[in-house]
This record gives sequence, C-alpha cells and structure tokens, in this order.
Amino acid sequence: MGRNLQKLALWTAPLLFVAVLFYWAMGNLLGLGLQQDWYSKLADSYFQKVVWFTVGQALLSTLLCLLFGLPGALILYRRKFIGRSFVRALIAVPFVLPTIVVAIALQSFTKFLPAVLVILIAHLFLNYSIVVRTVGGVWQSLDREVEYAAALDGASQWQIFWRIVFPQLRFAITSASILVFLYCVTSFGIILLLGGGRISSIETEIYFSLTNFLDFKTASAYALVQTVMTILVFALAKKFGSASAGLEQIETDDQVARVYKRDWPIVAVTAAVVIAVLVLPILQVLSRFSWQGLVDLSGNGSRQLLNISVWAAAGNSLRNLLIAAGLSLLLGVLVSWLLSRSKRRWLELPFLLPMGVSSVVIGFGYLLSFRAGGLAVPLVQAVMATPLVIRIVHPALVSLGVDYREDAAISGASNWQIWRLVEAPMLANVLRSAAVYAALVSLGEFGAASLLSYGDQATLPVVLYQLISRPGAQNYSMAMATCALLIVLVFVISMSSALVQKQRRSSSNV
Amino acid sequence: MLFKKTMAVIAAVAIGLTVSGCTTTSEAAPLTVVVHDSVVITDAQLAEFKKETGITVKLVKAGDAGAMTNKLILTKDQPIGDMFYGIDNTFIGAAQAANIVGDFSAIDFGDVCFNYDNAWFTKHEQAAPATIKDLTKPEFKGLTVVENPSTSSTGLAFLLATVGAFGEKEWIKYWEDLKSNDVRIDAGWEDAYNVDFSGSAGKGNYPIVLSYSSSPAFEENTSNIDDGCFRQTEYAGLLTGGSQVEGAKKFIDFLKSDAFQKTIPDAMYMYPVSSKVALPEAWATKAPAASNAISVDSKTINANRSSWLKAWDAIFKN
Repeated sequence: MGRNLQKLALWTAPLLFVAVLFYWAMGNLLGLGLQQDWYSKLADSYFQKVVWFTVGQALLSTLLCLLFGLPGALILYRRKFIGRSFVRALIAVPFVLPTIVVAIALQSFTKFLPAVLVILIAHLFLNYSIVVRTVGGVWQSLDREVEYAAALDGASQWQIFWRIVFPQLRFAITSASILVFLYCVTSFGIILLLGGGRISSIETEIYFSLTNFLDFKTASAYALVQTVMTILVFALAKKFGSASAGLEQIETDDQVARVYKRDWPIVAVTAAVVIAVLVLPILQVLSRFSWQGLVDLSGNGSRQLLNISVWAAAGNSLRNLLIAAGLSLLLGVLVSWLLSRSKRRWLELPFLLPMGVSSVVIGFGYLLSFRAGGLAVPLVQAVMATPLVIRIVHPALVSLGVDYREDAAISGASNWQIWRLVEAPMLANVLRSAAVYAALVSLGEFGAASLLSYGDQATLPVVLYQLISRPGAQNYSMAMATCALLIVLVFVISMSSALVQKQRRSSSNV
Repeated sequence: MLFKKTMAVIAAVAIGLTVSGCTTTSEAAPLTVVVHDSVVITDAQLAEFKKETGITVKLVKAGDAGAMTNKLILTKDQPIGDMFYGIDNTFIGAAQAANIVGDFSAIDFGDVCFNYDNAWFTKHEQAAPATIKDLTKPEFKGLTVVENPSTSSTGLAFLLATVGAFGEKEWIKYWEDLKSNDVRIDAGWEDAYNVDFSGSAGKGNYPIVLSYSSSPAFEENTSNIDDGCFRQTEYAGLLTGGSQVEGAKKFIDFLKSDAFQKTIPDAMYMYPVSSKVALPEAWATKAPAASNAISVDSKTINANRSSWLKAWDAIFKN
C-alpha cells in the first residue's frame, strides 16, 4: 500500500511539469487560434499542400535512412574491423550537431542539386546513426546459433536474413523509423536554411505566420494537425513495435566475425554513404575554418549584426544546456522508472507528445503564458528533451528484466535502494548517454530559441543562423569557425565516450 | 558513486537556476531599447551617451521591423523594453492600434526604389528602365528581382508603393504583369542585393533590384529608377508600460542630435531627418532622395496590410 502511494506521489512532479509547461502553454496558443473558424484553414489548398509536402519528405527521408542504415548496421555491429570504433563515433557526430550546423555544412550541395533533394540528404546525414545504432544494437545481440543451423540446412544468406533475422529486428526498425519520422516531420532549421525561403513545411509556416502576422488561426490549425499526426504515429508504434528497442543497448559481448568477402557490396554502399554524405560535408566545414574567423568570434560581426558576441552566446547555450539537461534527466529517469513499474503503458504518451509538436508552438505558448526571461528557453528545452531521455532509459530499464528487482524486494530493499544499488549501476552507460543526448538536444535547439532568446539571451544556433543569413565575408568566416569548433568538440566527446565504454567493458566481468 | 552523480546533477541544476535568476544589479537600472536588426549604434556612441547622462543603455535586437512590432505586441503585458527605435511607418499603425507605443518621433528615413546596373545595360546595348511600368515590358523580361513583402520590409514598402501608384483596384494587375515577366522573388534584401544583383558584390544574374535610393552611393556604377519610390520613415518612441520615461526621452534626443544623425548614412544606409546634417559627398551626387516619393496613410496600411499580403500570396504562391 505504501509503495503505491509513494508511486502516485512521484508521478505528480513530472505530470505537473509537463502539464504546465507544455499543455497549458500550448492550450493558451490554441485557445487564441480556435476562437476563430480555424477549420476553414483545413480546406485551404495551400494548407493541404504544405501538410502533404511535410509528411511526404519525412516519409522519403525515413525510407532513405532505412535503406542505407540497415547495411550500415550490419557492417558496424555484426562485423569487426580495424577502426570500427572510429567509424561508429564518426557517424554519431551529425545526429548530435545543432541542425543549423548541419544545414550550413550541406549548403554547398544546393548549388548543383535541387533544394528538396538536399533537404532529404540532410535528413539522411542527421538520422543515419539513429537507424544504425538502434538496429545494430539489437542485431548484435541476436542468437547466431539459429542462423548457423539454417545455413547448415542449406538456406541462402538472403533467406536467413529475410526469414530469421528481419522478424527479430522488426521492433528495432519500427522504433528507429518512428524517431526518424518525427524528427523529419518537425524539421525546422534545415528547411528554413536549405529551402532558401522558397520551400514551406508545417514548421516554417507556423513560424512565419506567428512572427510576421500574429496569425494564431493558421498556427493553431497546423499545430493541431501535428498533434494528431504524432498521436497516430505513436499509436502505430504501439501496435507494431515493442518497448525494448531503445537508442542505446546494453553492450553484450563482442563475438562478431570479421568482414566476409561476400559482404563487399554492403561495405561499398555503406562506405559510399558515409564518405559522400557524412564525411565530405564535415571536411568542407573544417576546411573553411580560419584563425581570423576564430578571433572575430569575440566581436559582434560586421555592422554590429549580433547583439552579443559568439562567445557570449556560447555561454548562454552552456547555461541553458546545464539546466535543461539536468531537469530532463531527473524527470525522464523518474518517469522511466515509474513506467517500468506500471502496467499502464499509455502513461508514456503525455510525455512523448512534445516530440512531435513544433518547438515554435511550444515557445510561442510559453511567450503568451509566462514572462519571457532567462529561464524560458531552458525550460522549453527540458520539455523537449525529456521524451528523448524516456525513450532511451525506459527500454533499457525494461530489458533488465524483473528478476533483479524481485530478488532485492524479497530481501527487503526499498524502491530507492533497488534503484540506487541494483538498477542504476547496471544502467550507468545508458544514463550517461541519456544525459549527453539531452544536453545535445538543448545545445542544438533552434525553433524555440529563435523565438524566445532575442537580445542578450541569444543562443549559439540563433547567432549562427544570423551570421549565415547575412552575406559578407566576415560573418561567413565567423560562422565557419563556430561550426568547425562544434564539430571537433562533438567528435571528441563521442570518441572519448566510446573509448571509455570499451575500457569499462573489457575490465569488468559482467 | 551514482548517488554522488545524482547529487552533482541536482547541484548543477540548482546552480544554473540561481545564476540565471540573479539579474545583473547595477547602481541604476539600464535603459532598454528595442531595435530592429539593421540598427547600428556602436559601443562608442553608447559610452558617449553614458558620459553625458549617466544612463547605461541596453540594446535588444528583435528581428526585422515587422517581427519586432509583433513581438512587442505579443509581450505588451510584460514589456521587454522601455522604448523602441526602428518601427517604421508601415508598422506604426499596428503598434498604435495595439496601444503599445506612446509619443514617438522620426529619426531617419529611406526611399525604397529600384536600382539598376549601368554596366550591364551598356554591355547589352539596352536602354535602362525609367518607370516601374517599364518593368512589365518584354524587353525587361527576367531581369528584375524583388523581395517578398511578407518576409521583407523592403518588399512590403514596394507593395505599398504599387497600391499608392495604381490604386486599390489596379495594383494586383501590375503584379500579375510582373509575374508574367518572370520577376524573381527573394526572401530578403540581403539575398536580393548581395547575391542576385549583378551590380553588387554577389555579381548575380539580375541587373534590376528593389533596394534603396541610397544604395548607388556604395557601388561603382548603379542608378535609381526615380519612379514608384516609397518613403520609409523610422521612428523612435516610448513603449507603454516601460519604466524609464525620462531616460528614454534623453535617448530620443540623443538619436535626433547632429552627432548621431551624422553617422546614420554610413552605418545604416538611411537618410537623417535633420536637415542641418550634410550628406556624404557620394550620396549627394549618386544617391539623392526620391523626388516624388509615395506615401500611404499609416491607418490605411494597418487596416489592409493582411488582405493585401494575402492577395499578393495568391498571385505568387502556387
């Protein structure tokens, strides 16, 4: 009885947080829009065109990521080769870069490719590692004995894949696809910058209708469509997926084979994608780094373009990151823990909804409901990072199984003791990843920040966007210097965390 | 170990919250001036102002004129500044209707006119356009770039000029003719002028661009079409609900002072309102203000802006 009350009490904090900062804030915005006849918007042909385009490009991007990500998962998680850790760390870099940096890195593609194609490539660049890590993580832990037995019985490689491996990967593939789809459907910075003002998605339309016209009717209509879409996507996920495929798998032992001769086509495809789509743009940005650009980062750009220097903006981003990541980690872990103890799986949904709704909408709702100040941006970012933390921690927690808990409970341990002494240490890597991802979501967040963090609260992505949208040699060199610094920083973090994990695994006996 | 980590996380959050919660306290609260992105007031000028009056000024850049006005309207219950500088005559009506501004006065103005590249027309042995009606003629097909009035105040100014020049019934027909003549639409002045215009740094493909009557002063060989120009006047004034009324008035006087007005042409490419200030030499010869600039009443603008923009969208967004 005491345990149930305790759980109920623990649910109130996160529910209250998300209720006030997301639902109430959004409600204020929607309330303004729904007062007028917003449903007439749904019949408008331009509105429909924007919605179909947004969904279409997200679907295509997801397909592309799956098409190239599955071979990548095979090579990087089911085969061993020299430099594998390096490549794994490398492909993680795009996902954790601020989207505005990704857009800047791929901008030169727009000179010889149509903008829509570049947007799809940018989405592939960003989300490739989601598919590879999610699917690869599960793939590496599949039981190989069945496959060997089938091979002995005369099954071809393709048959083994299609009939034995693929069904087991189905959940991981669904899980990865949903994440990729949601990221692509709410893509803002990429379409804004690479579309050159000529391509409209739901997000950009919401942004312009609110900032240029104060047109709540249009913004609310789009926001409602997004909400319905997100709910549908998660409902489909529940039907076809399972809870246990998260972004980070507990690393199991590494008895994988070296690369076979027959793998060469897959290696070729993966290498081509990794080099052309991932490595080249990064190298291009790094090659545009200049020391002058670095020096200029302490100034305000040519013609006083920026309100604050880039270093000051980085300071703002760092402060926001600490608050947002700290909050979302606390709340996300708490919710994951509560979900793992609960039979009511639908309770996940209220926390996951912010993932599919425009950050501009959340930001605007915040602007309407509360006083905009230093805390506005990190709080909104915490709302957006919490679902990611949940999606990482909850599946890992579930995959631990109930045996440990039950044994500990029988021995008389309290919930807190079970968490602190049994579960948390086993999840250490996953928790670390979740913290890093939450921090990076906050760092790269652009939609809400561009709305709320004007003046001296500007964050790094906002300042980058301002620099890159004003032609001019000095602004451009400042933007390139900042992007290069971010790329190097992210790669170093990614590489070092992979090395740390490797060291811990080889030195422990678990 | 994990307990320590949890404590570290909580400590980080707590520190973060406290640090951001503490506002910078100084002896006197600063005067917060909300400006648009193209306003240039240097640190040296602010230091000069502080020396004269003892007031510290904090500039808050809030987007372009339209976005800034909308932001101010949205946050009117909790104003983000004490005064503004940069709302122009196309948006002041909206600001007044929303009751967010108090007294205001003009600080600078600009004339939005078409510029053309003399070198291009000489090379192609073609006569340059003389009026905006010329831009719809076949000999100028595909040569003009204009900014989107929904995303650019320059573009909006020209849309208003066409309303003023052709009247509320005929202006749409003018734009349809422009569209059939392959006019290019860019999102903002920066893209149009610095990337697509052939007469400027970007060496683009379009010899006719919608810009300002002052732009030729900064180029080798461009000129204005002295027809269909729209006068954009920028104001500075008090925000209702702002706290530093005396300080704001002093800053407005500072903006109208000859010392500041003299720096406006080179820094912001606009004309100072003060007639006592001499224009830079290049301006007087190459970039005089329009002889017959069009104006439209600010209340009319405010009442019709949305419907006019929607009508424009209907032509170009298909």
